[in-house]
Amino acid sequence: MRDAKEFDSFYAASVPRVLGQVYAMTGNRAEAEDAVAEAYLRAWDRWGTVRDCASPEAWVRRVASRTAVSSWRKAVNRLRAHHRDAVDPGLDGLSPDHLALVHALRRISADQRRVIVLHHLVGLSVAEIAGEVGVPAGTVKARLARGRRALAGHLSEHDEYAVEASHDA
Amino acid sequence: MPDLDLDRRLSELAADAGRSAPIAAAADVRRRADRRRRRRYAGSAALGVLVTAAFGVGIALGQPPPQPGVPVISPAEVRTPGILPPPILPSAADSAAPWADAGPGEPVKAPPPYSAAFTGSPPR
Repeated sequence: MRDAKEFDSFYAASVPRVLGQVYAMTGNRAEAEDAVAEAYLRAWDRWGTVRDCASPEAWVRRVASRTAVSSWRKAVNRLRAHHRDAVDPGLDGLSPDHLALVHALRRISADQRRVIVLHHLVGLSVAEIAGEVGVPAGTVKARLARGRRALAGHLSEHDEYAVEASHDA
Repeated sequence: MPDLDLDRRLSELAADAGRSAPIAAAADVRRRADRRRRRRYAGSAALGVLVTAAFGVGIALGQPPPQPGVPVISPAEVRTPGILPPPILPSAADSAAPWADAGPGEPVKAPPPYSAAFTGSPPR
């Protein structure tokens, strides 16, 4: 028998955190919200198994990130985005620093983004990331290094642009 | 490489997203999941019925048509030789004309006007 109260308390405690993490992984708020909602639906479906996991939150995050990058969902999201306004509502109200970070995150590969978020935001070690992502530790290290380098380049570009814009003004 | 301070920047970004996102109530999430599961079960059941029906129709259509001139014998009518009843052979006791068995010198009795043994038909 699934314990609804237990699920509800898990959901309330973890959903803002997981949503933020998946948002950082995808760089798209609508996509992140859809993926996280789908992951919690599946978690309730299999709550008897998920609750016994070492970390149910990690399970949900893993499912959400997989859902977000699945090609089918991407195709559906592209169609949805085509029908929506061209402006990304997820970027409204972001500070310039957050905006720069989101733009920089979007410009690196999804694999690099995922390991960077898992390491710098979730706080997992390289070995833990390797376990969660399902790749060797060396690959995780390489993705981290390349991703950081690429992010630094994109963020410095943005900073230079911001400095020039402030001088012009 | 410049210090990106990724930990802080990512944490702030994620916290901001978590705060400002519309978060559905847990009860709604459960309700949606249950509804979806019911729909999935109903869909699977309907698909199962459809496949079974299609299979049945396929088998029925795939049967060869009965050949003309060959009588159709139901399995109940088929008897193997091992269970055939023994043949009934005529014996002396079954002689159809006991009145004809008169000894020499005895008067021959006339046959009765009607005997079921002769005709086998019921008396009128």
